Amino acid sequence: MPHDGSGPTTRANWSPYDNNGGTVLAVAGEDYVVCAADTRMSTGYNILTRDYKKIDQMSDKCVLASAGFMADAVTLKKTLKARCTTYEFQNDKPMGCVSFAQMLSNTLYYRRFFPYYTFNIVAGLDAEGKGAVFTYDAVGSYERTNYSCQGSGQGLIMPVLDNQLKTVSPLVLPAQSSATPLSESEAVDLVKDCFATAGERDIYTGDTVEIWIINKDGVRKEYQELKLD
Amino acid sequence: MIPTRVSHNPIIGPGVVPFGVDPAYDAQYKLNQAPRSHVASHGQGKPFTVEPGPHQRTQYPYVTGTTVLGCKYKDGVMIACDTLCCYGSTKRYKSVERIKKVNSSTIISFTGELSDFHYIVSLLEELDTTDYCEDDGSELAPWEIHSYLCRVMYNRRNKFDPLWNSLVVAGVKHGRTFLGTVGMIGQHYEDSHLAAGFGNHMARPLFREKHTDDMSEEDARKLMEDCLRACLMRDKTMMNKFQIAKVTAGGLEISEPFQVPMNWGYEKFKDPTKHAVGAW
Amino acid sequence: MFMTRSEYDRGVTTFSPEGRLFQVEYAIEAIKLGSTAIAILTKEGIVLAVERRTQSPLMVPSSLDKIMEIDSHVACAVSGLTADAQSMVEHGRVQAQNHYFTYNESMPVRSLTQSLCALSANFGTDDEDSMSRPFGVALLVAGHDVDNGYQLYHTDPSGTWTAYKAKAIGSGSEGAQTTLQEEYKDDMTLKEAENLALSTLKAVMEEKVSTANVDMASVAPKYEIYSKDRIKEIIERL
Repeated sequence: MPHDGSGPTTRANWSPYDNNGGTVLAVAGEDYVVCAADTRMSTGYNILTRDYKKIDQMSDKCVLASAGFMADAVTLKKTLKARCTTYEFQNDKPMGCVSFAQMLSNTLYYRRFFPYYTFNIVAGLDAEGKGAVFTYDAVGSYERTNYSCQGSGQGLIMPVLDNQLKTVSPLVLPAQSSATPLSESEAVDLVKDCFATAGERDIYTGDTVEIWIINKDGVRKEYQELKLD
Repeated sequence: MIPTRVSHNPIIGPGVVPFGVDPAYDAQYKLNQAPRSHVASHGQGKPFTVEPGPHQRTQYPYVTGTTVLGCKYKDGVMIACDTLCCYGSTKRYKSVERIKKVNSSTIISFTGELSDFHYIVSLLEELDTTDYCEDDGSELAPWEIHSYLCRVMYNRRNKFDPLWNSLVVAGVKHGRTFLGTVGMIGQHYEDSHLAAGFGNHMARPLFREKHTDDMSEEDARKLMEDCLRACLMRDKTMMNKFQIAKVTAGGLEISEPFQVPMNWGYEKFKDPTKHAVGAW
Repeated sequence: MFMTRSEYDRGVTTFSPEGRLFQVEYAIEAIKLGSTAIAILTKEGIVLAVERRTQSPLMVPSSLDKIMEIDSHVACAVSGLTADAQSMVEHGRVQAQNHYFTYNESMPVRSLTQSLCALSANFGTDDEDSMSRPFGVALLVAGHDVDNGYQLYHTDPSGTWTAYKAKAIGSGSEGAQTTLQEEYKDDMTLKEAENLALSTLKAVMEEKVSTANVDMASVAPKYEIYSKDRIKEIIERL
């Protein structure tokens, strides 16, 4: 090959994004919400750490779980947490999860042309104390649902949730509750099964599942070990 | 920077002008596109051309360091790396101190571009000077240094002008042992053991097998040397001249350069293709 | 007396040695020249009543707007320089809409009041939207939100805000406030509050009360400005 620069060159290249993997999931009940995420952080075929928590509490009864690019997720969460604190000072109440959901959407959309590469789920209790799950795309489209799953294990878990939790169509009149009929402990068991399944087949899901349960008594956490491979 | 021209609209905004609307702008654009000849200022030597086109940020690194390893142990934390910085694949600078003391409780090291690391060190020195001028005896903790570096790296990636490094930060303060890393686009984590660069592939499996948080300094040092050897023997951009630095509650210590014993004399190394059926 | 004052009258942000800001005090005085405005809070809602002072028979009374909507759940009655009130209300409207845009909920009444007061207290600074003098206006901010129900706040040019059950501002405020103090009851109905507001206003007005010289509105829980017919009905009820 000639060394005059005319041949192809291989150089170190860079991208502003990385996919650090991970799965996040949430299920809303009549008076509770369960939010879960694995704690693996990967890049390519490397596991960087087995202890990266993807769920953070944003306000009183509202948590945010993000998969995708961790540096974006951390930045996003720092920004939102600061806004929640300011909100609490200005309005003398913790930010509700419906408000938080809207704020997250706006925050993501403001970065429409250099997006946060994050896949988010907001879980919390709404003003009536009912479980609420909000699911997003990277640029802020969002929807309130009664269950959702995002991240690397989405394709494995979502069909299971559809099968187990599909409830009455919102088209049915008179309107019926869209919350899952499961009890809190049944929902937690389902979440554990889902992660065990995803951990089996998805290399980006594993190590530990962190499960947050929010109900009228407050916030509680449970952990389940997954395979390390 | 000359923006992309669009033809569907005569003028859609400042700086976005199609050909023919503004002759002065067209001239400037043409100038930027043309290859430019340069002759050295003393007038000797052959003229050389500079590639045409708009200004570009750092697109690739020049002088680079490779693997840094770090692990916690019973009394504190240690990090290790070689003293080599390569110019492409040339082993160019062989006595670079790649571990830097930041303050009395923190050390950092790097992989990637040496000059970018110098810049990062200058930022930290600036911080430390500001801190010193406060004259309250307080210094930044290792995790605060780490957090600061995370923001620096992330902000530079946001400007599409990254600092081409992975950094390892280690230290002990207020009875807490810290070991963390941050990459060139701001991705970061803390762990009991970690590796930046090629060591991710070679050393971390060894750490995962043998490392415990409560191992003695002696054991940790031995494990570290094993890991360095594993990296050295498979990474052509590494050199057998290492430094290990440790931080404990008692202070920090960066070792003099040393070598790890190596053996390339194994029978199977002598004629590597002998037992490999179908090899070249 | 006047001489000592004037030395500290040049800068709006300069305290006198006795610890007073004269320009702010003058601004508060200016409100006492304004038309009377009354607000009464009940468990069923809040009533606002203001006096319209037409200075000439050729003036069109409806162009004097002293009750303004900030959002569908908050309104205010003003007394003092109405032009300043317009600026403040405009600011409040933007804040309320921004809050809804960001948080998908109506802006809490107290937050909105605080935001108006922050603007009031921001005179004499280098900020872009800062006034060179204090606003010469007092507001009665009446609103309803999910968390704290009906709320009535009084704001003055110093940026101080206070919650009230019933409050009168403007030229007739002294007499009106005494009446409100005597007549107010915690379990009033909205209808009784309408009567009290208008009768109190009537007592302090120089002119005879008519649909042309008073304006009324309520927040119960949405803002509603009263029609002439409705005001006429209340006048007849008195």
